[in-house]
Amino acid sequence: MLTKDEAIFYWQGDRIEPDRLKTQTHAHYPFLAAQMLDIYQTGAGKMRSELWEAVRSVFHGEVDCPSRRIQAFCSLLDEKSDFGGRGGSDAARKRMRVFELAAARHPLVRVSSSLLSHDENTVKAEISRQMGEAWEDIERELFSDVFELRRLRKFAGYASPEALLTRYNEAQLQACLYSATEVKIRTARDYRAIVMAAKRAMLMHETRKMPDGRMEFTFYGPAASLRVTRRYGVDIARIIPTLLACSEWEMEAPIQIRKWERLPVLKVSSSHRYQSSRELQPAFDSKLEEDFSAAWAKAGQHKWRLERESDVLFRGQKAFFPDFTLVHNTGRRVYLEIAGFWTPEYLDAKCATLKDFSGESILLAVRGNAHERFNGLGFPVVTFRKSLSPDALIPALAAFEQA
Amino acid sequence: MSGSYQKVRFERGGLVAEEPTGDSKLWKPLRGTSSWVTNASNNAALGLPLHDGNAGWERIPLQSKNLNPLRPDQMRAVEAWETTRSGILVMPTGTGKTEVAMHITQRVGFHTLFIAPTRALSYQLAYRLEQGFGMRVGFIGDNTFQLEPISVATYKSAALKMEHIGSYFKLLVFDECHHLGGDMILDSARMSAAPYRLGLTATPSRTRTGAPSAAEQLIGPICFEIPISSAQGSILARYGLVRVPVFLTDEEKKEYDALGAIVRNHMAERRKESPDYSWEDVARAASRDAEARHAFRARLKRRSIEDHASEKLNVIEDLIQEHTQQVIIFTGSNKMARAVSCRFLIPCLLASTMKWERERILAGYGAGDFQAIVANKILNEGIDVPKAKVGIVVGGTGSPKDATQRLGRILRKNGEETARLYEVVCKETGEEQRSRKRRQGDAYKR
Repeated sequence: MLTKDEAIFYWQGDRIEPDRLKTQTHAHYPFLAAQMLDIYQTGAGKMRSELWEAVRSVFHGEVDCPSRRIQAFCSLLDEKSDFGGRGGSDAARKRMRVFELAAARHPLVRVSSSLLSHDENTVKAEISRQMGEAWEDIERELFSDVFELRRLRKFAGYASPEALLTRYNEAQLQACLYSATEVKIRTARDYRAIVMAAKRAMLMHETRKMPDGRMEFTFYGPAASLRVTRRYGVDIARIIPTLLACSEWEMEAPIQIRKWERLPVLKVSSSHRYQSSRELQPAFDSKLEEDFSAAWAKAGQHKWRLERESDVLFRGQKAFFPDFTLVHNTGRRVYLEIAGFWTPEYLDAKCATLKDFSGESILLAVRGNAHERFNGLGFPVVTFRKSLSPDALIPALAAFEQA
Repeated sequence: MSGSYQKVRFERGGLVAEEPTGDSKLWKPLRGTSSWVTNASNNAALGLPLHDGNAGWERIPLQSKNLNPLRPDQMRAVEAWETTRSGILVMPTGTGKTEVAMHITQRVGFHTLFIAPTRALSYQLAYRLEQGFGMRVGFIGDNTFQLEPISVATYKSAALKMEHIGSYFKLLVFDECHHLGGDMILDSARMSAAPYRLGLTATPSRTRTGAPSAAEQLIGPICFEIPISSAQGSILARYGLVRVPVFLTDEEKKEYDALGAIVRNHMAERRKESPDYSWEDVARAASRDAEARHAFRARLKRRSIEDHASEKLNVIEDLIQEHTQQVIIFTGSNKMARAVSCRFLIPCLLASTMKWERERILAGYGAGDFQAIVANKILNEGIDVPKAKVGIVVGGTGSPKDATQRLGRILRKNGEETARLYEVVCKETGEEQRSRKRRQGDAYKR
């Protein structure tokens, strides 16, 4: 993701828009992007400052180009680059050795005015001999761990110049949201992926079913009840790649650039045809669920079909997203909720939610001995140890069939 | 009474309750629920719904035998703070703020978090606390999260993590507390339930209206103050200030003037159309228009020529030959710091310097193994440099706060020797003006 200092946005009245490169208005940008990719692709061994300077020269004489845009491209190229870890220890150890060797001969001078001083070149030659390396090599490596002096090892690259521009547009949209106080997303599909992405970003949400049948999610941070804060803007921005990969959505976010009373609003929807740098991931919460889904597919011959993109259950304002939906030949739907890893708080929260949805066809699969906590809720409970096997569910599902 | 408090809990930086307790104006409805929420920092004002019994803070037995005894003025500071246990002590650099904070911590004897502005300062603080208390000290920041009964964090990490650790500490110590400002950083104080708060600073920020600053609101009022002038001579060493002018070489001068011409032409050109065209406008226009960008770069380049003037290295060479005492050199940029380091092969402290390296450099300097070290701005605040008696400032910004801090660095009292500060400035350049501005601060008035 970009830093705040690389964000570019424009605002007019109540609306705010992030910088976006479009085919019509920025027709030559794929050409610039190709040059930038070439700099990095052939740049192994070069220092970051040299690479950045080269990228800047691509934009030389480019009119209407904010310097932040150039810096943003540098960051996005770096995002796919390996400059070695923070592995600066080698360089630091080396220079410590040099300074320690030099300390006994301090001060190193060119024009001596004191009996105690030493000639710079002589000392450097001596140290080079002691370390068994040419002085030029020592000097070259002396600060090679410093951010701008680190050398490019490998560039993973972008699939095409267009892919770099796609990522640029996405990253600017994200950066605009860094100052968001909350975000509203309205959608008719793919809720699960969106809610999962928000959960991963540790956001809170409210859910509302709209008159037209779509769902409206409001995502915000825990401090939002106390004050208007952009503290969680970066977390909000994290859901963008997922959102862009979804279809038929609208997003609205108030953006706090200054302490204005009425905040300008960022409005984007799927009709803006933003592209995601990512494919929509199958929305599994955990490896456990992924394994279960695979096992179910392998087992094959059940009368029940497993659906990943599950239904959402509503009771008033509250919504519940079961992990899976099992659909019987007859169309009967049973919701499967898996509690794999848990903490006491997690169980309390889950029980509280489930209590609100009593009477629904929910089947619980619980790992270990936590099942007692769920017994009073009136849902069938299946326990498992390591992994959940499809066979373990059959008796409980049979009971639903007869019900 | 405690019965009604039982339902209050700490949750992600706030106190959450089914029903408001205490002053109901401090509570707000918690979105999406029927509960109420308030800033955790209101804990004390609400009569401690989170208290020794239900918060995470615990008593820690701390011995004072490894702490240095306090001077009378330090003792007065401790006593002044103890009347309210939430307030700010204003003490010039070198008057032993950290000692005072450690004594307070020992007397409070509960989980304590120290918060410092930079990684460098946090590491140094952690080291001193470990020495003083003889126990493991936690560290939060620099991609580390180790929580201990006594921990140190940077302001930024404290602000980021406080929503998870805000009920663990009973005492918060804000080192250099004038850094407490900005929506995000304030969360380090706002999201904590700690009833005891101590702020330390040499340069308190004052609001224009005289209203309490953010730090005063969240820590407490200033409860003790000694001005730098009374500290000098008694606690700090006497010092002498010497300005050394340097000239650009012919080649540097030529480039410097050429760049100046670019800037002047640009300004003249634009002022034909808009007479008020200013530097701020250039900076703003630089994002859009190639010419303004060109002028903007030219000015940066000019600054960089001043900063790196080769004559400066020669002056440093003369000065370190002249003084047999240990020397510390301050530069205005990382690049210049590295250039000095490479030229004289002396250790170099940058903001990015890793913990072990920093410790080794400072320990080596303290032991007298290194005669000289060079540092960029990071040493401006609170980093202890033992025994430094000679300071050389090359380049830097014009902020008086920086100068105060720099003097504090080298003016630590050490025998009867007089400390000396050299300021190496380019002649006939913008640098001269910045130097004058620097000298207007309190610390330079004699």
